[in-house]
Amino acid sequence: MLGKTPPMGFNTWNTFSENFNDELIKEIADAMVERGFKDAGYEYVVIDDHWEMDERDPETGIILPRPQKFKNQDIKSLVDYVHGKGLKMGIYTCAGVRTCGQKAASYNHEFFDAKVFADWGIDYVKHDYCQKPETQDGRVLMRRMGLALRESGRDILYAACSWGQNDVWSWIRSTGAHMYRSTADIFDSFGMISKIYNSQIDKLGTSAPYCYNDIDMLTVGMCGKGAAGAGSGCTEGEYRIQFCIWCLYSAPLILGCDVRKVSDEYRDLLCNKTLIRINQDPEARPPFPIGGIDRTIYLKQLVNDEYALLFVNTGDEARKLSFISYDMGWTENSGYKIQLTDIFTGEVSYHKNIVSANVPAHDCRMFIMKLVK
Amino acid sequence: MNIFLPPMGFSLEKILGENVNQKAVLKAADKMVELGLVAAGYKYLNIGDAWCLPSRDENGRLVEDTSKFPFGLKYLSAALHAKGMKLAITTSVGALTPNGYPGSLDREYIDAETFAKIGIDYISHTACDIPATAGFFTPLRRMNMALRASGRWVFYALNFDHSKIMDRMYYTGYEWDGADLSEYTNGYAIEKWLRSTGVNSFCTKSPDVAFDAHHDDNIIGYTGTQCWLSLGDVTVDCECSCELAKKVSACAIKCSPIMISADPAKLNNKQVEVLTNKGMIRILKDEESRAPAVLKTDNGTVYTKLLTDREYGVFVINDTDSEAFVPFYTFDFGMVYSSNLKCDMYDVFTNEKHPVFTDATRIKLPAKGSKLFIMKLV
Repeated sequence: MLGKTPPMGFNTWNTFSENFNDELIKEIADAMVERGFKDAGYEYVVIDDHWEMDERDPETGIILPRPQKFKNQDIKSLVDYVHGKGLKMGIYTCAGVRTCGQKAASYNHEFFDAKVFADWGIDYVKHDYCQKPETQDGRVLMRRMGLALRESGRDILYAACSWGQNDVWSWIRSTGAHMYRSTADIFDSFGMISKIYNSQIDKLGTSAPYCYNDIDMLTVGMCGKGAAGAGSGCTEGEYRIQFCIWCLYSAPLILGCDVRKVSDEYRDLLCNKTLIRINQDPEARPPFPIGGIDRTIYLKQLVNDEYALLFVNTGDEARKLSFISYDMGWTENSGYKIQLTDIFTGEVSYHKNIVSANVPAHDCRMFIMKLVK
Repeated sequence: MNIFLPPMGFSLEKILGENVNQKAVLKAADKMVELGLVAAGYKYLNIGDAWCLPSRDENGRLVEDTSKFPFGLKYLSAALHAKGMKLAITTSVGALTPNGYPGSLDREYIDAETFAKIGIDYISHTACDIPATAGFFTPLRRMNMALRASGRWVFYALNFDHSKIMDRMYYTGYEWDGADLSEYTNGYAIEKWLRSTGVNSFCTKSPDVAFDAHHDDNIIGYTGTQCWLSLGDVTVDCECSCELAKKVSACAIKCSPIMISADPAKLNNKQVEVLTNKGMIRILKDEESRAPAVLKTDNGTVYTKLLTDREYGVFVINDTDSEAFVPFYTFDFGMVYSSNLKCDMYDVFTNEKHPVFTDATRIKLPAKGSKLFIMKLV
């Protein structure tokens, strides 16, 4: 069943924006397999805007790929190649009359385009929100693509991208979307990253299996390189914060770094089994912020009797962060003590009235928590 | 066992009240089996809150009332499990349950241990009699933590009267320290956090208020797998089956758990047919638990719910006090001329096929009447 857990994959936008072609995508697919991303769960290879011609083909009405990017305007061979690697193929379109990059888009052609995508073997469609008629209720356009994909003849994951407009959280689940962008575009600076995740901390109540709040593609490992998603880059601790938060939020994990070249260390972080298990938890419950003046400690219920606990220190000095256990629902008379297992070091510690962790500057500590006798 | 689809069952809380007892409960359970209700999915049986003594024992534990349940609740739960059913009770977030029995406030851990020991599968955790200084979210989190630690999975249903809790939020101090309290005036700040507490369902209206299919129209976006928005217990108020059909249809289209507050022995054949209707249950038990779109039209409301396998649930209500046509405009649903598709739907209760349509159709309904359809695009 599509969307049973948050989708995981790669998207061209952050690192390549319009500068990609079919050969590059094959290299990306190869790297995802060779470097362990596929085994970790990353399965979608998504090409973002700028694959498309400026106009529909006058004879067939199809939005064809650009010949400079796809030899003979053939995309099926690329899709077959990606499928041959055991991966899935994603593509991009837009609800408006033109895409954000001014290319041909799907307004009033949603059902036709969905059938074309199905015919090509596409497994994922990102549906953007630029250039739609001002007098057209945008919600109905998102509904159209949901129906169109369902009626296309193929199981296709629906990634809605309306950047949090029109109170998207309150109606998007009904459209058939499996994920929905809720913020402006990300770029690789910690200020932007923290702005994005802070803006959604109280908007995850409607994020649930089959329809997830999408806080945009990861910039982990970009380190100042790339295109549309590039920024000044982040420190290792900041990238750790980003990935831990994305996993805690059960947000879709869509890689934005160059998977061919990203360092082994960042590859290891992005493939961390425990963090991915937290992200892929079947209950997909949102975390809630707890304790401290800054409320930068987050607790998330996992399936059964485990919890994920994240301490984030965005300050410039190492700090001891703590919260009072009663505030999360522990009591002394419960007879349980609180067991924390550090996800990165494996170290186990026990706590009672107060739970605290020493957190380096611009970094985080992440734990699996359980109550034990 | 953890469940990922909205549960179905019966509640005897209002039927037996203080007179709940083992014989009556097992009689109702056997009737549910006999009528095919259990096989259709109505597995949960809520015996209310009057199963225990009005006071806890010297260790603070709940005590089973052996005058009502001579062999205790473990015997009862085992008997229900043997029939393929599950045992539910009504509990309280606060100091007292709805009928004045001991509430779980500050006792969540020992109560969770008791529930695990006696084989409880579901608690209808009601937010009543909460002391003003006891908070709201922390007691919810405590019960969740206690249930999870008990080693036995329990369906954690929450009931609260939204307006009463909203008033209390001003007294919860630290929990909302610094929060912009103006967000409470639009009423939905509480709902934002409920999924994070671990509850599996929540109902935002008082049980004293009549069932209302429209009750949570404007927060329907919150319904989702493992934290379903509930319309509350379905009362059976008249002999006709159409009122019951409307209520369970509303639940099905909105992914609300269906708990029937009735004595199964008093149901007539038509009512049992409605409750066991395969199409209605298929809509409820759809794997994705997608919220419906709420399309308000002249005279009424059309709810459209995307289902798996290229089917769509369509629930139409006439909101007026006289017979009327309620229109369904496929434009609002997401169809467009270029799709070249038509709508083919059938009434799940009568199996009548509705004439195929493209842009719009009108459904003729009696005052306050409703119809539930399964639709395909052809």
